[in-house]
Amino acid sequence: MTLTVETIARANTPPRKGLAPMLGWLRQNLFSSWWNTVLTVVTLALLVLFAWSALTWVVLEAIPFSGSRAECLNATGACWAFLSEKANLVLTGTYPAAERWRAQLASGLIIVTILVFALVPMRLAIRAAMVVGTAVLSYLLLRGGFAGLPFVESHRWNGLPLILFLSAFTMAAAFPLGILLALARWSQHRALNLAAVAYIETVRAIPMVAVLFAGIFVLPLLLTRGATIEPVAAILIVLTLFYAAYFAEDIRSGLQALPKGQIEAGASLGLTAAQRIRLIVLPQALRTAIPGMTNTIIGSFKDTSLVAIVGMHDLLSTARMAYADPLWQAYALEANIAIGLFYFLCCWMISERARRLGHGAGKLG
Amino acid sequence: MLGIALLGLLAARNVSANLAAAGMEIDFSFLWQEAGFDVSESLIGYSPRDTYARVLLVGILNTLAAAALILVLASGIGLFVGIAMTSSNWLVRTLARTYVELLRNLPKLLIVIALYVAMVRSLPHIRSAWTSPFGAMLSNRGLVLPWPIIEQGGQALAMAACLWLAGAFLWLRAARLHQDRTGERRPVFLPVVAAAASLYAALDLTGTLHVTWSVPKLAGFNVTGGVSLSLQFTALVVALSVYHGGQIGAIVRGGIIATSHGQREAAQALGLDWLKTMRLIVLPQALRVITPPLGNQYSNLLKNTSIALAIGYSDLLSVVSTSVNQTFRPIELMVLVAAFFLIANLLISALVNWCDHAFRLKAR
Repeated sequence: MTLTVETIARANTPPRKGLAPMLGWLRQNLFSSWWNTVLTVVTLALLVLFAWSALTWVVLEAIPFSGSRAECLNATGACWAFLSEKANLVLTGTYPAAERWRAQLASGLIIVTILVFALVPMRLAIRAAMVVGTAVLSYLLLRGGFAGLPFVESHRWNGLPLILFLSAFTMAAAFPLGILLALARWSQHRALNLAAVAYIETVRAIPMVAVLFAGIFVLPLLLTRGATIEPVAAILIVLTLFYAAYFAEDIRSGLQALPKGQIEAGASLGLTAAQRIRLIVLPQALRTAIPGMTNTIIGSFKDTSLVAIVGMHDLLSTARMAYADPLWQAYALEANIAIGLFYFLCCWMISERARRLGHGAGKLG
Repeated sequence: MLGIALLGLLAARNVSANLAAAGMEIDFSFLWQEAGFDVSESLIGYSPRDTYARVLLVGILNTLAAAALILVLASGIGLFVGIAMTSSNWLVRTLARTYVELLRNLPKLLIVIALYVAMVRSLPHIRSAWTSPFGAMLSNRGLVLPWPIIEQGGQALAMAACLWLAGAFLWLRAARLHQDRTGERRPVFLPVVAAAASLYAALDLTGTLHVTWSVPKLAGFNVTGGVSLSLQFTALVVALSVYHGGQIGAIVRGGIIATSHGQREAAQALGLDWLKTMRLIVLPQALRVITPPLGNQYSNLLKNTSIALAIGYSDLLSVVSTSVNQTFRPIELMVLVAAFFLIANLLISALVNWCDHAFRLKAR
């Protein structure tokens, strides 16, 4: 085709200055045929229309964070003042106002732990200790009941600390469990293999909402008579069991991609079975499984919001509380956009970090 | 291994001890008791006087109805977005990519709730409902669509439809055989559509068939006629179609990219236009790649309909939730839910395996 010839010819001429290369790009990418031109014009028209009305709503006719309710009543744009008015309610929900600093501190602690975990290379044992330490510390901080900190019931742990606590520590607990499950499925041991397959496939067939229900209603029945379990703990347990199956499936694909010679080479070097798994199998399998596991982590972080369905107040429900206020009823969209932005940024950061991990030196550390 | 078995044994003992203390045992006979609660909508006749078994069936049918509609819509959106993502037009490509990236990073519950709240608050009251040219009405009570009613000649229509299906199948076979033998392609789509249209016209003109459209009309505070979809159902279907449409789009894009560029260039060199290149060369090969992830996506879609609970659509989990609260039979009900989803998933994966096998490259 003439296009190819043209491209080669152009590549041999020295690059021209000014507008010409840009025009060439425009022609190639937007106006290469009459059909493409029509497509571009129509899309551009719709886009401009949308962008203009979005800009008007979000910025031009909106009331900024510093505004007041009176101003919002007359505005035709967004009311961002609603968010600053309700920031505390959305972030920590019904956590007692006087103790709010504890919820904020716990959130901060978990965020810092996640960042350190993701960015600073360190030994596995230290990593594990850090995660367990943060889990215990943030739990005690949220719960209180010692050293002069008043006790706060777990159903008042709302909003940001709740979703951070649940998603961070279910992931941390589900990951090792997922490795064990994947290894069980991968092993030659017949009974172990069968049990792992049955568990993984059953869990993956059931919707998360059903699993949450099981946590609230069925799990308490499994305990010794008279023993009780807080809903938060029950949810933490069932979500860990749930996501372990998903991690196991991701890791299995990594295990399957492992050449058999690797294990044989390990055996011929005289490594024991445990050493082979720790030093040869897992490092390679986990690296192959990074894209799948990233999807699972993002999915689970997003789906932690489903705990709202069993009556725990995550960010979506605290936002709902905020726009249930009769004075601020009209601003549901603003709240939902803010929550959406939060999830978008978090998920985007997770996938960016995972992409680097996949490209980088390849040490999970 | 032994530890897990022991733990299981302990849990089983605890369950029976706990149930015994409450004076209960595992027993499914409650299914035949009166349920006593109402549902948001039902495909089969249902009243609160019916049994729990019936209300569970209503829930299952509602789940399946929503999932089926979402599956069709999401696949359509996904195909469109997937092709747009591989477009040579930069603007279209970037827009499609933005759409997929955005939905990949947002929780589905947020999309469903945001859409539902926005619909409840900004759609007009039923008396000033938005009406489309063909008579569909959208208000804060939901969507009402015009619906055909066969007044007469239903049997003739069914027979004609069977005849048409058989004819179309035979024509397709003949065309394929002809192509295998001579390499010449015979038109398939147009004759089949034309046959359907002429069959329908013949039935209609001879007076055998009489169809009237039931168009929704406002009568006082209610709408009569048409088929009515509740606001919850509409919000759920639209939100999940948009959500899964993005994910299917990414899968379709992967499939299209996986077919080698040479194939497309060869098709162009043969003089095939864009539509034919897509339809005959690229998509059939892409289908082979996308079948397994697509099956996975369909099973996710079925599971995700369970978030309907958050907006009050009576899907399986929402009627189960009410039933658990009323009967306190969580174990039995959870077993039923798990069984339903297990069977549904097994069916989906069997179907996917069958398709995978049928589409596989056949070496002759």
